[in-house]
Amino acid sequence: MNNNAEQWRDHIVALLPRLRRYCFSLTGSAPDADDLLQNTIEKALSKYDQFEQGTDLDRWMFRMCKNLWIDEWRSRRVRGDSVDPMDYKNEPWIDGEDILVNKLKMSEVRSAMNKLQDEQRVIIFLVAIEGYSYKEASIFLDIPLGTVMSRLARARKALEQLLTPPDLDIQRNPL
Amino acid sequence: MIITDELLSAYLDGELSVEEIAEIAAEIEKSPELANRIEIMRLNDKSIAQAYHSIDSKPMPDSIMTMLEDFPESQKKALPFRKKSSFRTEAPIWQMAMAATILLFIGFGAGRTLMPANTTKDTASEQVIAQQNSGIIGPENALYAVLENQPSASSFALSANNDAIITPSMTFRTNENIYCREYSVTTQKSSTQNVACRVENTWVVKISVGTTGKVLPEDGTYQTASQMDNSAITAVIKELMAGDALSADDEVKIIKQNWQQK
Repeated sequence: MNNNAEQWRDHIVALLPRLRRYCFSLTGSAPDADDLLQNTIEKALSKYDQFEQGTDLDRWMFRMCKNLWIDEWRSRRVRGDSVDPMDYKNEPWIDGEDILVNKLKMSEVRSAMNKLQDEQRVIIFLVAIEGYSYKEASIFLDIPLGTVMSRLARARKALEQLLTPPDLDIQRNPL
Repeated sequence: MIITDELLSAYLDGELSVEEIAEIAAEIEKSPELANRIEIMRLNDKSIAQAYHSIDSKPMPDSIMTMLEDFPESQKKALPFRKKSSFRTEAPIWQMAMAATILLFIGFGAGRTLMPANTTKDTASEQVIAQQNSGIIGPENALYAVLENQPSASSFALSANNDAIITPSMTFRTNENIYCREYSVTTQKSSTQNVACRVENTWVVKISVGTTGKVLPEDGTYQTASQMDNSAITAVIKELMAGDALSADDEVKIIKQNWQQK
């Protein structure tokens, strides 16, 4: 047994939930997200030998994931397949989720997210979904702090315009 | 002070200096319009986080677990196709063994009932187990610490062998101001979805719905339920929950306060 390899794999295991949400944010559909996750893991494991110690594994995996999605997206377009991932009717498991956000709101949110520019979607993913600090996001994306700020502000502004304003009176009711 | 989109957004994320925060708070105080806008931004963020965290409650595909479990051995073989042995000779890391689930159920205490749900399609390979009021999780139970301390949407391996992965998926409050958490217990071979509420420093399981299966003798493969029937869980949550689920921030706060409201 190779201890290094096992540790490396365990790091990937620990990363799975976050990587899966990232796949979800890229694809906008849960089945596509799991396919993409599977392809990413498969590719990562096959490239273990090429992984240089000291490389940030998280960034390495996220980049691989994104590139795979771009490939998939392109090939779907070439094949003439739909690139619109908004087919929620095929997600029966989502029925149990209407507690968290109602189904309509969820599809509206994902539809809005899919209309954002890639770089805006990624910054929203890091900060609003995963709770990265600006500094962490700036290191992760290798961009200046100021760019994190302005990109995030633009993304939020776009989302404000894309999403139906929430009913504040209802939402403000205390528990 | 001119409140730019950047400042507002950074205010929302708590990324400003104390002075800037005070200045913006003062502006918000003066302008209902600004207050409204920051509230909309906050709620948008919340909806987005919830929409994307929803995938956490879906069991991780077995194929991915198997791939990770077989690493690094799988990469050493030069053969293009790896022939899988019918019998495992070593305990897999993602052993979501039935044993783990059964153990857990035993941990929930006596008086449990196991009843196959009507929704089960293939009783030969899987069984849906639903049980209500299944027991108390006290500090002596390993699950207790997870429910006490683990934020939602982050997984925790219950034993040193990674027997079972516990993932709290959300926290909510009841009308009686009792905190409850929904969480999953996943092993490679089984998965349960549960709701437990915190009563007098213990967690009381309100419902536990699980799928387990048995190894099919002819080829040693394992079949798990492709998706769980969560309607029973949903019904229990609907009955208990008052208002929205806690935001990630509020959850962290209440965990830090040992689940005591200030």
